[in-house]
Amino acid sequence: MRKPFRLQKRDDSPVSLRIVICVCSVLLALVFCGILILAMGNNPVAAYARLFRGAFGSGTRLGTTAAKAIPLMLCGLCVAVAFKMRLMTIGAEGQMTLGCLAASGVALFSHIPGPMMLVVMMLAGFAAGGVWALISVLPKVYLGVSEVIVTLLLNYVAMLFSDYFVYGPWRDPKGDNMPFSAPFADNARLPKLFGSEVHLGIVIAIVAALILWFIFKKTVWGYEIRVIGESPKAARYAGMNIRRNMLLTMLISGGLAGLAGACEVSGTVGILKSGISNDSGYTAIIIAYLSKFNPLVVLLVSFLFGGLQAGGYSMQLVGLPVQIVTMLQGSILLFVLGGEFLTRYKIVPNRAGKEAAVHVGE
Amino acid sequence: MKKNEMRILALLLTLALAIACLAGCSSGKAETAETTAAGSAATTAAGSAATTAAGERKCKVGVVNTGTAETMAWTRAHKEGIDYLKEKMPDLDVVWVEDVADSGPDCGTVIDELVNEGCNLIFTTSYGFMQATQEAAKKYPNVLFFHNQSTTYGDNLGVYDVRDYEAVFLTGYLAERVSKGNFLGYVGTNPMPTVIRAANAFALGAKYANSDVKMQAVFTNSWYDVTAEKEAALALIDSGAKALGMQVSSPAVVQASQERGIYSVGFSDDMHDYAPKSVLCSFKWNWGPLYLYMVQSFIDGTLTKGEDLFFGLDKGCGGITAYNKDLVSDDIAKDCDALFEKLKSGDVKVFYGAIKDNTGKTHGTADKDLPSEDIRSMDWLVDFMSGKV
Amino acid sequence: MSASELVSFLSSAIIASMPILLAAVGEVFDQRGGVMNLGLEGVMLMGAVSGYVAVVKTGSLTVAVLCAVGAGLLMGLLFSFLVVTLQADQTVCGLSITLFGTGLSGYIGKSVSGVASSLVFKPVSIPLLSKIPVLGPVLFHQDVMVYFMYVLVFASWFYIYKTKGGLILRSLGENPSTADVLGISVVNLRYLYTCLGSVLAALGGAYLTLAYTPLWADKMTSGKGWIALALVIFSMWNPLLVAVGAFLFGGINVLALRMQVAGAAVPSQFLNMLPYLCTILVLIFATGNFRGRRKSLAPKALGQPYDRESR
Repeated sequence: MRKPFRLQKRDDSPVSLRIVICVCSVLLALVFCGILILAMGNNPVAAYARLFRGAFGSGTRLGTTAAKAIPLMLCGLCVAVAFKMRLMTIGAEGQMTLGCLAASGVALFSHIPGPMMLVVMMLAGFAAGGVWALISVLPKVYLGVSEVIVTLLLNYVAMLFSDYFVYGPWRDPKGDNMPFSAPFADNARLPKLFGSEVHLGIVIAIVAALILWFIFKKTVWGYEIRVIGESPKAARYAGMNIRRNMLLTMLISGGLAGLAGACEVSGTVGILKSGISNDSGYTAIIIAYLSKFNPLVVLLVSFLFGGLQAGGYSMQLVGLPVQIVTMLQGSILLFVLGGEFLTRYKIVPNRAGKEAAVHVGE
Repeated sequence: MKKNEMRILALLLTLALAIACLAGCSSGKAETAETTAAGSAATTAAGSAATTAAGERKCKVGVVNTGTAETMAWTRAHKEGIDYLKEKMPDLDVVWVEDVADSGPDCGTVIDELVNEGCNLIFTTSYGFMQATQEAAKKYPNVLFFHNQSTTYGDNLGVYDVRDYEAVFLTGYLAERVSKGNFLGYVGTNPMPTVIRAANAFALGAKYANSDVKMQAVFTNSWYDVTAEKEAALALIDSGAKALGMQVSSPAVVQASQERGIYSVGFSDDMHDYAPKSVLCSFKWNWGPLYLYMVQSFIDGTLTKGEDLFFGLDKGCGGITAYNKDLVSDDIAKDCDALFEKLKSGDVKVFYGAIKDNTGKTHGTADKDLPSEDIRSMDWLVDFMSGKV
Repeated sequence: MSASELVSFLSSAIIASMPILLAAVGEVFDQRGGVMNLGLEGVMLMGAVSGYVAVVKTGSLTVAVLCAVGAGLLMGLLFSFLVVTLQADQTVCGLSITLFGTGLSGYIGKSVSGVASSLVFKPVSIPLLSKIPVLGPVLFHQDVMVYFMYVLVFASWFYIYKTKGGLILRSLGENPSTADVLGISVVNLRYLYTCLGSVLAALGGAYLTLAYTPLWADKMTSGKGWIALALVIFSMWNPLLVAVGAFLFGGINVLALRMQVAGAAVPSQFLNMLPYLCTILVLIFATGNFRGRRKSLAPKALGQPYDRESR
């Protein structure tokens, strides 16, 4: 029996189509999760309403959402840069942790006066993350070892390394031996903007995104990154220095994650402790993928994900279970991934007796 | 675009629109529901204020937790304390929020939400919430905050904790009496004061039963690593430990103990069912009476500012589950009960006098209790217990 | 170290290596067929929670194992659908399976959190063999799942390298278009091997809750899925080497804690880093293209969706 539909490969997939499919996938994910929520015995519509309100429902809440989005933005940019070159780095979490550590070190021990302190902290964070990322990609560049596993394993190493300082030498001598450092001086804290929760880090994130966008769109290097990512063979034939590009890209990528750590520890937390990264490095992978590695879209998607987290707490206040947020994130990703398929194929009715014509352009 | 796709798209957009409309309507409903709830809470409290003594304040409690009560023993213990509170005060309005990340702005966000909901007495139960709680206290001077495990208090920020070491001392004594071993072990999570003081208390309790006992403490360096906990237990057992105490996140340690035929003491949950041939009893936090005290004093107006509340056995906090009848003989049980009474009354003190640690330093002064600050900032192990912190 | 301590240590190493080993052998099948499943962590957790819920609710280890297999199968089908049929990017799909599996297992596990189960796979001594000094009790006084693992490792090695089926499997991963031309159903076989890999990973997770630490705790695999992936690459896709690597890793993990107990002067956080650093070093030395060494043994088509039309 003939199938009623068949798949036909598209010849092109315009941006408008991609956006539509992406949005539809997200909506479908919401519906799917809504069914799961219903199965859990809650009202999905009320849940979503509460989620939305908790994330965006007031000026303060918008501010909190934006503040939560900052580390996601920077880590998202980190992952986007690397993935664009098919460097599948899972190491943002560890790079961010070391960025926190380095920035904290500067804040606690350098006694730099005035605003220079923040500049040095940010540079230290960038450097720490960048160096760690470089280390993790050296085996790939020179020996062809997969970067996926190495970056992931180094996350654990980075977090244990940071923990050593938190539980040991950098503990606040006046802090009852709790695993925190001494609080940072005022000039080591990123100032908050307009009296809200959002700190200067957001400016850093936006500027970074704009710079990256410019690099990708307008510079030779950005072009090289794209080509190497899509076809290493073509890149080699074109004479591009793949090795150097890999190292440079990872340096920038890790630097961005390190910057995320520096911003977070300086703008939000103000003290060195364990777990500041809070899975931002992993969420960033989802964000980067959903943004199709476009730096400006990363900003938007990070904001939405920040809202998800903020709204999640609000949902708890009316008795909705915690797991909804993770399930929602997972579902959105799965549906968008599945929806990708429709950008490459379309479903065409299989009419008997007719040969399928080749559709040129849409 | 082709017709098929247009149809699908139209369908989806309609669906989306429908959802959005419903969301709009129900968010209105949700708001009304909340106002009604808040309104009724206020009326009840106001009503009861009218009929009870002057000075009574209405109280809406908020509790901020890390992890969930289902998955984390620490949070579960607090949940039990709050349930105890709700049992004694069924009209009390309590908002329980869990799985709040330990670091970052989340605690602050949740506190904002709670204050928005009308909470005026807020407990934050993880040490990681310290900074967020301190900042929130400055931000909301009309709300009373109590943070668990820290020691800085003042104005509208208080601190609270349970003298766990009293009951843990008892469990060390029990473990030594039953096992009669010369070498006992202790498995801890991260080497931080709460965990360290419990390890020391366990050791001192064992020593109370047998002055020649030697101990070793091992830390898994993770709040939550089941495999590491099991392997740590096995490592201690292979080194000759005859009983294990613990402050960990899962029953892996007691299971490992049962596997190898040695005794153990459970922590925070009643771990008897996990290892009925090994668990002598389990330590329980019993936060309940402390929460009850704080809420009741708040309502009747005696608790108006931040205080330092460090409650022990004499107030009903901290304690153990029933002894395992199959493993603990009646004689030993009687001796333990007697010790319990002495700990409660203060005849036996856990941290007293000059105590030497395993690096050679001495803490405390002879004939004096170890000061409370030192207990809560403990970062050393007693001299007959090997291990690094 | 005395003889009995050595026996205890080695025995623990084998048990500690089981979850990673099962998952890694499964992933070898996946990757030989050209599919990279990064979702092992999520699949292991689903297997663990399914097994535990089943054993608590039904009191039967057999049913529990079947449930774990079922969970693995479902996750495998989901992943196969995404990457084989819909040809989505395998890396991101794998990561999303991890996320999904972690969240869903946490939700399912709520009902058994804090519930004890005394039903475990107990060690069964093999007569005669277990009397061999040192190695006897280490290798032959283990539970049924461990014996299954012995058989699995050898059978997998034999299948992949010595049978026609294994040859076909390898061709899927090296050159799927050639296989397609020869009439081999790339899609069907990739589904088969991916699901097989998932099932084995789920069994690895179930070993945790049915034998190693019979309890359920959220996210209790603590990264074992990722170590398994590293092992696959380190072992050059050879099941025998997977076993060796798993024992090594399990052993180092156990060793790190024993060193702490033995009073090593190194801060414990650094000791805990050992397993990860060792894995990375081994990975580098085992798979790195050092001068004069042959190129990577990875299946050439690994990670690329097979698209018939672009042949």
